[in-house]
Amino acid sequence: MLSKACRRGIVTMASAELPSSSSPALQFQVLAQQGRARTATMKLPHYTAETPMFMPVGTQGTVKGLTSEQMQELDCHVILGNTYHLGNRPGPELVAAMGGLHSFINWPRGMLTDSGGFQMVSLLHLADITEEGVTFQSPVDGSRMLLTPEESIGIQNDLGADIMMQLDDVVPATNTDLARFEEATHRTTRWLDRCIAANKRPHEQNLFPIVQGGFDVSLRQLSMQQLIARNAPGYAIGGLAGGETKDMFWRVVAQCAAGLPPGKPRYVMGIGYPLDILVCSALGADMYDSVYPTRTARFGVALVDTGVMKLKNAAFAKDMRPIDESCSCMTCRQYTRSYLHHVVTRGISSASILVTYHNVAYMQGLTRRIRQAIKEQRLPDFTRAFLTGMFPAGNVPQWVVDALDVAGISLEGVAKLKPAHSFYEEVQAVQRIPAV
Amino acid sequence: MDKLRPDAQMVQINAMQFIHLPSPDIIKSFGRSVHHYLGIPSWPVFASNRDPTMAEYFSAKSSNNTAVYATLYTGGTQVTPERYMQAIAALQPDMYVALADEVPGDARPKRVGQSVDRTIKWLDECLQHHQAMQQQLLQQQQDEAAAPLPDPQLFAAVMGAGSEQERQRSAKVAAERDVAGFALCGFGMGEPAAARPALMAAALQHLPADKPRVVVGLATPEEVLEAVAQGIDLFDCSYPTHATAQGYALCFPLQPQQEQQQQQQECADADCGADDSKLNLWSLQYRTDKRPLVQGCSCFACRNHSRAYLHHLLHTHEMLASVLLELHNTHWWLGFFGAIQEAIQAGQLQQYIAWFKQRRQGLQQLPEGLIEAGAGKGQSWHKL
Repeated sequence: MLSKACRRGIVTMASAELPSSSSPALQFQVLAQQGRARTATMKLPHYTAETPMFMPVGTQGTVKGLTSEQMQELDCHVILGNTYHLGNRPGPELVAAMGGLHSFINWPRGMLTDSGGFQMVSLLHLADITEEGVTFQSPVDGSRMLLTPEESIGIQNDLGADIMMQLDDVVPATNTDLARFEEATHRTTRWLDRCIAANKRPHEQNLFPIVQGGFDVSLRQLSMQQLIARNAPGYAIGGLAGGETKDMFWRVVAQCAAGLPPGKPRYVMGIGYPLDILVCSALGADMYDSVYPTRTARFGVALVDTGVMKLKNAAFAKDMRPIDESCSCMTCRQYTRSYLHHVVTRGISSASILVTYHNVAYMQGLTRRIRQAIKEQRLPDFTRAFLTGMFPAGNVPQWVVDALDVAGISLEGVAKLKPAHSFYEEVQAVQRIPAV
Repeated sequence: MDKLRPDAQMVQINAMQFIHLPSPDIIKSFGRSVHHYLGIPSWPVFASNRDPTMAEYFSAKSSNNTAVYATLYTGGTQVTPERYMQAIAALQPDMYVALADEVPGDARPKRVGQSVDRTIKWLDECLQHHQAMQQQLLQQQQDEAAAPLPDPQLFAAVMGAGSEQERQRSAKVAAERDVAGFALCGFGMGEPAAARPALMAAALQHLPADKPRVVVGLATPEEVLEAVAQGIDLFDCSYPTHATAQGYALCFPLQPQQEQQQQQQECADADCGADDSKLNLWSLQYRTDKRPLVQGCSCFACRNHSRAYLHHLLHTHEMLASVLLELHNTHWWLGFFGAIQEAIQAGQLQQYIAWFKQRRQGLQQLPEGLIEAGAGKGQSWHKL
């Protein structure tokens, strides 16, 4: 797995220099670092994953049309299950009776479940947050229900995933009330304590806290302080659910990645755009999840290094090339854009499976390339080449230029714009590193 | 697809899908046969003149003497023999059915006669194009001297709907032509099942015994068995496709020994349209059932997943449900044909058919209580 160069590199560095941590159900070992980025192994009860890692979302116990065997072929290490959906159907007791989610869906590798809170707030009209928990109207019969931290963990214990997420107080990014963010920060910590107390299986299942604080530097700092004090096996960076600008987004990731313990995994929730994953990895994050690659596939949109390929476009009707000539996935080896165009335009649902397969292969390939680049100490070159491919005219967005500058990667010669941020003044706690 | 080997031997496509979008020109520009275009290069391909899984609507717009009116994804369009053969030439299937004028099972005598006449005329036109196509392929072969020469085999369409006389006439003329095989069309189009054997026999008596016969559109295993007994060789897989669409997993025993094993298993819930030939995975009785769809089945779905998981996938409307069910149902259906072949080779076909039919009829004799509960009510909208 590691190239000879890397192995040599690691032998000459004392392994004590590379961050690591050991918790009852998670062992994290950084293998190589460059700038703020790092690549690591994360040993979980069901599987040893490699980071940076993308986790496809298997909302209802399946990743949209792909079999468990295909997901393994595609080199997925960890997939996500949604507690809200699975908690409704088939329900936690049934999953527990089936031997846990792994056994129920026959997935032998890593699994992560979210808390259920986010879906509730985003999917349900009458969701309301109190100190007790999230109150909402049951989608089944309209009756008033309450999801408490204890219940969320109870359901997640029944599902049995390797990593569980705490129930957090989620504030929409569009909210401008600082007091609300402050309330959410403190409440999230209180709920974390309740989640920890409720965890019946701390030696088999990891519980990750979720850093809050909105877009306020000191609130984020405070949240991190409080959560780190609980000595969790890993941490998530929350509150970046969409609605915020990219400018706000990267700053939070940069601050939190730098502020969280280096020896533990850092999970940015809800990130799926390839560009975002590259930038966040450069800033020091390790784990990502999103429905984006699999959802966009169902609209006939394929992911490639230069951006997206909208297969429904008539231009592809006669294009006999594969989606991506450099991709070795089954879809690219066997099917042309022309064929895919014709089947996706007819709304044949199984046609979307071919694009889904490619998109998952793409994401796994992208994270593999990022890991390899870090191991071989060439992440800056990789990043510049990637951005040149994606923005051949040099119009890399300002936020990317700024974020990568903080990550220590210069886009000289690749981007027309120059860094124009004052991040290090805004977040004094983060040390400047030179951009190479 | 590879998971269906070794039982699966050939893939069926609908030639009409390649009349427009993708058009023959597009396939030609691809430069290789349909096998490669569809990503199934190692599978022989049979191109039918219609899709057996879909009920065609006979609208006000219909065929005329020069063309069939076909309903494509892009809308309705007239398809002449020339246009049809352009598609066939581009596709280069291993076998294909000539253009036919299909009519419903209850068409009037005049219309039936017309369909026989037109189909004969179009057969001759297709044959001309077929010869031209063969010339061209030979030319290509000489030019490129590359892969083995594609040699599409033409099957004549035998029409006649519900008229034994017309069936005979159509068969006689088709038999006189230089074709590779025969497609008995117009079955599964609303004709009464009881009339079918006589209609088939009327055509078959005039067809040569040394050429393959295909029938598409038959519904149940029993209908297939009857057709096999009469001398039909090739069938489609619309039955497992329909079963999948309705959430059924096929489980009818393929051999008498299997039947005994199954009787020891739980009885299926007759109220939801199931019987011991198929399970309705929507039924709540499977909610916590950890067993595979069918005990002992070697298909991918049964080896890797439980009834409970399939049940969950159906209820959450997940695509994976139909992926797994279709795998199982197609595997099971193909296993059925394996059993039929074995029975024929052992000289035991009649016994096999008798056993199979008696088993199904036996199901109708249910204990009193169940009859009251509504057993036998379970008739799904598509005959399964």
